[in-house]
Amino acid sequence: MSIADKLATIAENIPKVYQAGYDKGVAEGDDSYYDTFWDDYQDYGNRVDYENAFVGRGWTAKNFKPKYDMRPTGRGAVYMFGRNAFANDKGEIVDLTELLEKSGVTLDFSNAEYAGYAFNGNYIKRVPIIDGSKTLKNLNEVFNYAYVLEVIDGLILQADGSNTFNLTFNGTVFLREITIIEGVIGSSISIQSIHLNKHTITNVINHLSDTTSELTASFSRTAVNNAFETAEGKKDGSTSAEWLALVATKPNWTISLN
Amino acid sequence: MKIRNVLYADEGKILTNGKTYGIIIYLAEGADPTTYYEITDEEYAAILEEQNKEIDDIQSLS
Repeated sequence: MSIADKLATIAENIPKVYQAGYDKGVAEGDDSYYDTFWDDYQDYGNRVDYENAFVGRGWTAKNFKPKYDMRPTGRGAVYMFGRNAFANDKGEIVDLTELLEKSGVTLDFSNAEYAGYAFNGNYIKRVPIIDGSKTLKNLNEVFNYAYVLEVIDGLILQADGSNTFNLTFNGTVFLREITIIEGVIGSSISIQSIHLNKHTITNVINHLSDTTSELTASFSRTAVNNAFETAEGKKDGSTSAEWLALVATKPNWTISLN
Repeated sequence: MKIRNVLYADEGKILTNGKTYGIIIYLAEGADPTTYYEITDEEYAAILEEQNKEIDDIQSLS
C-alpha cells in the first residue's frame, strides 16, 4: 500500500473510530444516569420503606426500571403503587409482573406487616404473587380500589388461616383471576367482581378453612352464574349441580352471592 | 341430622344479618336463618355508599 493509500485509509477510518467511541460513551453515560438514580432511589438495594414510592402519573412503563429487588418491611408497601401510578394519556394499562421481569427484579411483600392500598387507584392490570405466609398476615385493603386490576398471579397464605381480608378486594371491579392460592383462608372474604372466573371461585372455596365457624365467603352472583353455567349454556350457574356441590364441601361456611 | 338452609331474597331486595349481605345465602350448618331480614336495593346501595365514604375519609388522611 502506498503512503497515499495509507493516508486515505486512515482518513476513512477516523469517523468510524470516532462513532464507535461516541456510541460507547453514550451507552456508558446512559448506564451511569440509570445507576445514579436507582442506586439512590433504592439505596443500593437496602431500601425497605417504599410507602408512596411509585405514586402518580410520573411513573410510566418506560421509566419504571428498578435496579434492585424490592422487599418492603413494616408498613413499607402502603400505597406503594397507588394513586394514578402508570396513568397516561394513551389509556394504556401496565402488566407489573412483566415490567418487573424485564428489569430482572422481584417484588416481595412477605416481610411487610401491612400493605394496605398498595395498588390503590393505579393503572396496573396484573400483579405478581403476594406472599402473606410470613409476616404479612394482615391483607386488609391490599387491592382496595385497584380499579383496573384483572389478574393476581397468586396469594400465598398462612397455613393456620390467620390472614385477614377486610376490604382486601373492595373495588376490584375487573378482577378476573387469582391464578395460584396456597395456604388456608380462615377469615371472612369478599370478592365481588362480576368477572371472577370459575378457576378462582373454585380455588377460593377449596382453600376455605374446614375448622372455622361463623365466617362468610361472598361472591358476585353474576360471576357464579357465568362461571358455572348449566349444560344448556344458560348463565344460571348458581343453580347448577356443580356449584351446589362445591358449596356443600364447606358446610362450616356461610356463602353469599350478591 | 344437620340442616343447611339456603335463603333467597325477593325481587329488589337484599338479605342481611347486619354483617353479611346477599341475594342468595347458603347458611353454614346450624346457622340461625331467623337472624336474616330483607332490605331494599336502595337501602343496600346507601350502606355501600356510606362504607365507601368511610374508606375515602381514611384515604384522605393518608
